[in-house]
Amino acid sequence: MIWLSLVASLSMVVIDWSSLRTAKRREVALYIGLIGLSLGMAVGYEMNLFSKVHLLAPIDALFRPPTKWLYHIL
Amino acid sequence: MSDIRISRTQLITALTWCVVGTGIVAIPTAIAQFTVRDAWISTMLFSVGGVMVALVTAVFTRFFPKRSLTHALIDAFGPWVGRAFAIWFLAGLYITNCTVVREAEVFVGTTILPKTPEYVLGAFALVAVVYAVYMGIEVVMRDAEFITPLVMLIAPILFVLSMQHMDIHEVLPVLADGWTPVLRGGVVSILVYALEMIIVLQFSPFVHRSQSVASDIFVATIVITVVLTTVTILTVGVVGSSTQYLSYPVLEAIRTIRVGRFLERMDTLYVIAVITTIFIKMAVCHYAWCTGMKDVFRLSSHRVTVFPGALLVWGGANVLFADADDVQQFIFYTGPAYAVCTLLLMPMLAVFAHKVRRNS
Repeated sequence: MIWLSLVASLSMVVIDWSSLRTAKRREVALYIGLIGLSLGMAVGYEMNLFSKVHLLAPIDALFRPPTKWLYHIL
Repeated sequence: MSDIRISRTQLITALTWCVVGTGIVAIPTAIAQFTVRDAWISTMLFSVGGVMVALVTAVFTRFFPKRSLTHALIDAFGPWVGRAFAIWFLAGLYITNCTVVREAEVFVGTTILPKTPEYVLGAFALVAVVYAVYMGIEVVMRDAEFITPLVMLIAPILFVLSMQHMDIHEVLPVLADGWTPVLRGGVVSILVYALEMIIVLQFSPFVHRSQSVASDIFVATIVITVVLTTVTILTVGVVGSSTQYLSYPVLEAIRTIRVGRFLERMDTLYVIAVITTIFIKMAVCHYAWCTGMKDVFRLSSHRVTVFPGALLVWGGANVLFADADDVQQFIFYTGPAYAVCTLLLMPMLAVFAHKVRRNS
């Protein structure tokens, strides 16, 4: 997954190169940030990091009890 | 950007394929966890969620004509609080897209490409999505329009042929276990799949007549309810009580088709139809996310986030959900409350804040 995401990231930068050169600094920062997050995810996936860390845990903790309550009262 | 216009027909077809794409795969399974015989009644409850979305859209477009939801949130709450709410909505859209991509990866991996790594399947699917979204909303909508006659040609053939093994006694007696399992079974279709149609608010600036968006949702709701109910009746009629143990009961119903000794393996056509409609859903979700990002970060074009956003969705799909069971658990037991807070409350909050600001 790391190799695939690296190849995809490089291809994206090559395709978007002309528009990135004229883009605002804020847009470039967002672009790089999103790519960085994706690469981080790919590395974490390959290292089996996310079998221990569940990124959706806060959302599950917040919304699972009301959903279970809804099933219960029906 | 202001020249971009999408017609009512395009909007209705896109909405229909958005819900049917994953709904036809997941809704029968979700409902069968609670009821099998009365699953068709639970599926019909989809219309309740659809009407709720139509009402919310009618109110929203009255107060925010030609405004996307993210833009309206920023207008209503101001730049900081509005952006915070918009980011919450965009996170919801992102997670929705991740579930769709993961479902597509697992579906294709299970049905036709079992030896290919699932993340590779997701990567290839997103290449097509990126191209469509990069080209703009008109291309996505034309794709939805283009596949409509193809699916309308294939689906009736599959429906009619699978009826040869249908046993109507599998859906009788009606309401033998009362309303409780029916209502529980309807929760996912009402609160997850129907509420997903609120995504249309991101497209309201592009719709030819934004006042008619609510009625378009109503039409789409009728079409989707009829399609899903028909599919559920056929599936339960063919597969019977085994529906609750199968991941893809509709696929199993299609697999039973055999005409003479020469026409079989029609499930390939079903898989093609599902992949095509899921592609539309992924493209619509990703476009909505990109336009939201454009509003929130004041970008020059939605294209800035098309490529890196798709890469993030691809990574998220594999990182957030370890397997198909993870996706199902999220949709069944977290999705309903999360969808209400993210998809239903956000437009209502924007309208409320706008009204309070106008009166004060």
